[in-house]
Amino acid sequence: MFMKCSEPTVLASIPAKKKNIIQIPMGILGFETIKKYALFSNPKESPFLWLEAQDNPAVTFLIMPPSVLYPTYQPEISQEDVRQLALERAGDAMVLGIVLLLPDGKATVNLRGPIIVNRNTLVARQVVPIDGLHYNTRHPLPVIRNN
Amino acid sequence: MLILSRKFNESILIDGRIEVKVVRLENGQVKLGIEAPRDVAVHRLEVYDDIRTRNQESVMSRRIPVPALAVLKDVTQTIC
Repeated sequence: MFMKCSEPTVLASIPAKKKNIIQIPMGILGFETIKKYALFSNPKESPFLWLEAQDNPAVTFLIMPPSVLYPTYQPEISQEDVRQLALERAGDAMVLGIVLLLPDGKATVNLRGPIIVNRNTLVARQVVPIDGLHYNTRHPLPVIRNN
Repeated sequence: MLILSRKFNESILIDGRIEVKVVRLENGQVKLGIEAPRDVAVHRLEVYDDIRTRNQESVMSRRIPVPALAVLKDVTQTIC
């Protein structure tokens, strides 16, 4: 299934609460024991969101929907991932990339290992898209740091 | 771990639908051909290691104020 995620409504579709609990049954690679995260969305911080381990705020990821910047980013995910996430249509999926902030003020986003959230069930999974090799884990983000 | 011996041009079949064939042997390197349905994700293990490493680099110990952090330049880029 191609994750067509370029609709501008991508953020508006997050349930309206500022904080949602997201279940990640397989965990995030390298953080497999953590299965529950709080997803914080604040319009003032858009397009960025935060994924914070529910029982351990010291494990926090800055994330964003890559489609905001890269409308052509439509990773194709395997049938197994579609099944695990119980996705019925591409529109059920919210596609998020983990942002890496570099000491020199630059930032990158991981397009090779996106986190796919089922908007209806709030179950998520970090997937390697079938076409993952087309994408980089350190795709440069055009950001300006103010501090 | 299941260990099977295969010669050049021999295959194994996984789940009745994924064929892994030894297509070339040279200089201590084995080339494998993988025939799998389009919906099966096949990746080198290193891809997962790469993502794991990036995750570990990206983890932060707390949320920081985003407005002070980054402003996305008003650009739209295409990739691929």
